[in-house]
Amino acid sequence: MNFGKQLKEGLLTQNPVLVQVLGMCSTMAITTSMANGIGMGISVLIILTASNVVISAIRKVVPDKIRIAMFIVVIAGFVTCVDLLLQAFVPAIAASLGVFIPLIVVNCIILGRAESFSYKNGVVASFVDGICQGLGYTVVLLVMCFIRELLGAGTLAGFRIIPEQFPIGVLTLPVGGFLVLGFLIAAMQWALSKSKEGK
Amino acid sequence: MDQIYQLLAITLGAILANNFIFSQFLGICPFLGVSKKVDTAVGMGIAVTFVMGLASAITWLVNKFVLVQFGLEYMQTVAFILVIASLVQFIEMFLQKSMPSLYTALGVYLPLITTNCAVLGVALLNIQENYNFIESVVYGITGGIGFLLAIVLFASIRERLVFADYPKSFEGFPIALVTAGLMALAFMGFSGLSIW
Amino acid sequence: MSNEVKSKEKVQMDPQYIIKLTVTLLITCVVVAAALGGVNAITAEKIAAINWENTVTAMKAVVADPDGTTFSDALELTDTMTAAASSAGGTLDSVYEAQANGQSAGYAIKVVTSGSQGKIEMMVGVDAEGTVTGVSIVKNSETSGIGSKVMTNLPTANGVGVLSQFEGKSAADGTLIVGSNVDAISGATVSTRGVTNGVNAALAVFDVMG
Repeated sequence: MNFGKQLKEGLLTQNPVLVQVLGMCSTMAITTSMANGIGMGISVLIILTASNVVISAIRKVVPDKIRIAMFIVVIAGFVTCVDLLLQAFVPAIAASLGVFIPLIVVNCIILGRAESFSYKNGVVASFVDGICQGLGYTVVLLVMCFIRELLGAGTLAGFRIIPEQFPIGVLTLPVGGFLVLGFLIAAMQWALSKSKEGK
Repeated sequence: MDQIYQLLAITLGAILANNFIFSQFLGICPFLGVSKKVDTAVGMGIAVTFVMGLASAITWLVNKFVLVQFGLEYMQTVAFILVIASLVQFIEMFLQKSMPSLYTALGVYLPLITTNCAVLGVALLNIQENYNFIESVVYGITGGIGFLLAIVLFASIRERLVFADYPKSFEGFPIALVTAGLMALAFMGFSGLSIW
Repeated sequence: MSNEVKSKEKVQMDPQYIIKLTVTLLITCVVVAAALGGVNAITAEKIAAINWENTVTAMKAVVADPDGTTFSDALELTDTMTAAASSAGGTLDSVYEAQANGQSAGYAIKVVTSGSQGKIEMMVGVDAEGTVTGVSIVKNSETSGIGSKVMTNLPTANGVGVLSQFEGKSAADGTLIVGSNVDAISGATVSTRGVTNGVNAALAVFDVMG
C-alpha cells in the first residue's frame, strides 16, 4: 500500500474529472460559487470513502451477478443520509445544490471506483482510494469554482473582488461550465504529455 | 385549456429553453461518450427518450402510491434508482424476447442508461416540481426528445471536427466540451421563448 | 459482456443460486432502509422546522402586520376549496390561518399557477374582510430579465410594483384581468397573467371558506 502514489494518482495522473472524465454533470452544473463547490466536494468525498469501505468489506459475500445492484443500493443509502443531514444542518447549501445531491447516486466516479477499485481491493486501500479520488474531484471543483466565480461574478466566496461592471457574466452560465472544463482538461493533457516527454 | 398551455410550456421548455444537456447539465456522460457518430447518437437518444418517459410514469406512481402513502419520502432516491435499474433490465429482456430487431438496434445502449443522470434527474424533478401524472410523462418524453436533439446535433458537428485543425492538447474531450459550450450558447437564444 | 451471458445461463439452471441472489439483495435493502430510517428519525424534525420557518417567512411577507401575526398549522383542504381554486385558474397548495392579538386576521393561501416557463408557487395574504394584503412569490422558473421582473415586484408603467398592485383588491373588484384592472409589465404579460390567476384563485378559495 502506497499512500503517496495513490494521492498522486487521485490528484494528477488518474484525476477522476480531468483524466478519467467522470462525474461531468455535477462538475459543470454546480461550480458557480465557492460555497457550492466546497459543499459538493465534501459530500462526494464522504460518500465515496464510505461506499468504498463498505463495498470492499462486503466484496467477498456479494454474488458477482448482482454486484452492480448492490453497489447502487449501498451508494444510494449513503447519498440519502448525506442529503438528509445537509437539509437538516446546512439548508442553504442543500437548497443551492438542489437535485444534484441525490444525483450523486449516478455520479460515475462513485460507481466507477466501486467497480474498478474497491471490489478488488482491501478495506484500508479502498478507504485511502476513496479519500484520494474524492480529493482529486474536490480540487477540480474548487479550481472551476474559483475561475467561474472570480471571473464570472467578480466575487470570491461572496466577497466582491472585481467591480460589478467588469466580470464576464457568461462564465456563470452553462456555457461557462463547458468552456472552463474544456480548457482545464486541455491544460491537463498538455501537462501530462510534457511530463512524459521529460522522462 | 390551462392544462394544455401548461403541457405546451413544459414541452417547449424541456426541448429548447431548459434543455437537459445545455442548461441543466443532466446526462452529460452519455452525451460525450456516445456522440462520435450520428447513427449511434440517434440510437442512444431514442433509447433515452423511451426510458425517460417510462421511468417518469412509473416513479411518479411509486412515489404517489407507495412512498407518500407510507410516509417514506426520504427513501425516494433509493427507490427511484432501483425502479430505474430494474425497469432498464426489464426493457432489455422484453426487447430481446419479443422485438429482436429493435433489441439489436438499442440493446447496447440500455445498460448505460441506468447511470444516466437525466433519467434519475427527471424522476426527481417531477416530484420537486409537483407535476401531476400527465405532466410528468410529458416532461419525461419531451426531456428525452431534447436530449435526442442535442446529441444528434452534437454528433454531426463532431463528425466534422475530424477535419478541423486544433492544438494537440485539445484532442478528445476538450474540443468536444468547447463545441458543446458553443452549442449551449446557441441554445441560450431560446430562453424566454413562450407559447403565447 | 460475455461474463454476464454466462451468469445468466447459470441463473436459469440453478434455482438455489437465484434464492441466494434474492436473499442477499433483500438483506442489503433491509439494512439500508433501516439505516435510513434511523437518519430520518434524527433529521426529520429539524428539516420540518426549517421548512416551516421558510413558510412563515413567506407568510409574514403578505400580511399587514408581520410582527404581530402568528400562523396556524396548514388547514385541512376541502373539495370545494380545491374546486374554487382550479375554476379560477390556479391549484390550491395549502391554507394557513393568520392570528393577530388572539383574533383571526384572515388567511395566507399558497397557490400554484402557470407562468411562461413553468409553475409559479405564490403566497397570497387575504385579511378577514377578504381584501388582499400582499402577494409574494415562493418559487418560479420565469425567464431571468423578463418574467423575473414580475417575480421581483418591479413597477409597472404607472409606477406601482406589479405584485403590490394587488394589495387592497377584493372579490368586489370582480375577476382580476390583466389589461382591464391589472397592469402588466411590458414584455412579461404571461408571467403577470399567471400571478393574476393565482390571486383570483386565492380570492375564490377565501370566498368558499366563508
